[in-house]
Amino acid sequence: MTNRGVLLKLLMDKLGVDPQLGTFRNRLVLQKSVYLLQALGMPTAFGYNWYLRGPYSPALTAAAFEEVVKPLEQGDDTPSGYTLSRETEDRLDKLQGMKDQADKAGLAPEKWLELLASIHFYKHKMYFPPEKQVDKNNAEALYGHMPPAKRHAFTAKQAEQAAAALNAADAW
Amino acid sequence: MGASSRKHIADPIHGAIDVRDHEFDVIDTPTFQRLRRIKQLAMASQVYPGADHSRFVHSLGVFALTGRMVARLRELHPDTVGERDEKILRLAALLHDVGHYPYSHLLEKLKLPAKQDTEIAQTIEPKENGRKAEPTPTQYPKHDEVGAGVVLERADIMGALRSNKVEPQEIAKILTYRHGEKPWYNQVISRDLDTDRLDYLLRDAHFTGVPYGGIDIEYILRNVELDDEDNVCITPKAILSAEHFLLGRWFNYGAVVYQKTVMGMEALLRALLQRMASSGLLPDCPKRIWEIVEDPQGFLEFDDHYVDAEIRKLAYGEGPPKGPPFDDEALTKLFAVAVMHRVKPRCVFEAIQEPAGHNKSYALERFDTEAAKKIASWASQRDVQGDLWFTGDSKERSLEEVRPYESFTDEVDDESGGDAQKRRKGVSKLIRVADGNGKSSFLADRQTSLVHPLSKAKFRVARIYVLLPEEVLQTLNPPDKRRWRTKYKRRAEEIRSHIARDLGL
Repeated sequence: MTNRGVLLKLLMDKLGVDPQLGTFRNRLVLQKSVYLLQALGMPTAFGYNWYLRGPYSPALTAAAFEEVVKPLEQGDDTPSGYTLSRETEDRLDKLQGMKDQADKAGLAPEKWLELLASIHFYKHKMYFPPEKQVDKNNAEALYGHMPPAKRHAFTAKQAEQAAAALNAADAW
Repeated sequence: MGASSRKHIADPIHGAIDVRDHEFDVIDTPTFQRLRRIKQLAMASQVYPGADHSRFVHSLGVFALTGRMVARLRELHPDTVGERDEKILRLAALLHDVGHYPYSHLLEKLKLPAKQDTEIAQTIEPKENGRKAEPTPTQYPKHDEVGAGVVLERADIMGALRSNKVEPQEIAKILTYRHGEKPWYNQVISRDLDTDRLDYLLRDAHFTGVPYGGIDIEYILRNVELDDEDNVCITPKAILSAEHFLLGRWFNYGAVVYQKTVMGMEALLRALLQRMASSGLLPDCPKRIWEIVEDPQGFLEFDDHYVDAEIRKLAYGEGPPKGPPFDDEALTKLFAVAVMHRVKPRCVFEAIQEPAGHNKSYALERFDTEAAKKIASWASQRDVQGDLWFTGDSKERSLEEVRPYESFTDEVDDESGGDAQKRRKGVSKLIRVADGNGKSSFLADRQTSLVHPLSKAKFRVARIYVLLPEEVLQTLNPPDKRRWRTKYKRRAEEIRSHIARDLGL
């Protein structure tokens, strides 16, 4: 297994994600968690683009299947020879700190992750044409520019709560 | 149709291609014009001199075919396929290759220096006596992902789309084959019988001069259909044409894509590009690609011309390469001279898969298990530095190809409600045949089709090449050509016999 495969497998264990990635929830949690961990400085460089459920990286999906699911199916136990580094644990702690606020926002954990990743993507990655310039520090304004499906799934207040959680973790 | 005026672009394959005003808005952007400076077939022109056509003209071809295919579907299913679908798909077809790299797949699939892996290795810590992980194979992002990034990040393309009331995100989803609301969008541009493959088979055959592109494109386009689940199909009448197309593509692998000299020149160029990435002449990590995409001018300069200019500088700067033995700098120079002067690496080993064989051929088995380990000893025994040996491997290709994990995306997951079978069917790239009652089945499952027995056939060729340094150096000061050609041919023959004996072939 590759270094990256080992990292992803150890992350899956910490995040409670089934390493077979057999369900949509598992894949969504992995996608949004890795996105947020990269926002917190994890050097994996998976490229994300905007999809229906917010930022999504096909390269991460490919890596997870080629470098984790397949080797595990072949009995590869390399991850048992590793632990996460202190830096990665610290980033996971910060992520956990954000995740802990899902209840307060009244959202299921995976929906909360989706919102955190989405509002972050809108602030840092989404392009706004000159005629639609927006104050990128204003979560409510960013929320107002999200697609209708997102605004249907989340409220402006929840978007503000997500921005506050990202801010508290130094990821805003 | 809207009131916009129509113009046309003349094309040797499709004749006059109709283009609407808003489509010219995209074509005329500097980002799209960049595709003029990227060759479709990388090094194939080293063997087929006519094969210098660009990604630009191929994109126009895919655009033309998509326009015709969607117009036909719209005629048949006006309730499902509307004017807006046609508009979106024509633009997506135009932009489907906008994220391509210089030298296309050659650069895209380059193995990059382990810089990123060093960073990843810091995210984990090895325990004592645990099994050690392998380095992560780092590559640039796939060109379709870069294409989506281009559509979502570059102001000229975004502006051209938005001013025509098209959301860049919608195009980006089609470019990455993940349009969840209308999965049939993905199938028009990416499946085994799609407008991309149809154009490149026709176009590559035309410009290379190989005769495998004579497919019945008119008949295929007249016989496209949608089934009740909105899968793009062909009617049973077009089965022969589809089979002909698949076989044409199969022959194209052997005659063009994996032709012996093309493969050798690509292996040589790949080795040179790898050295250029290590020395900073090319992006040295995936992250750098995203920075280039966002750079207004940097992306426009990232084309074949840039790479060619750097190779020219490497080849002709500061005297001839010194060696043997050749140090890193001299090897880079030697490779650059070989590319510039078309000095072919000599093929010293070749293993071909028997198409209908269930198991690997003996030679391929030996290649997979022994070649990498033995190259160092062959290099020393035959007195040709190990850095001058290259391998080329087509990997296993089949008549029709499916990569199941591509189905795992947010959108398709949502659409299928987690149903794995449905999800796979939704994105399967296999050709479907409509049965006339709104249903369809895979062409490969029809026992009366030639594709059925051939669907398990595999194409694979693996080769080992040696670049003879004295052959490269001679080109800087050429003596009697006839004599040195014979000499190096004989030298390669000796190495070939040595390897064959050593592998027990």
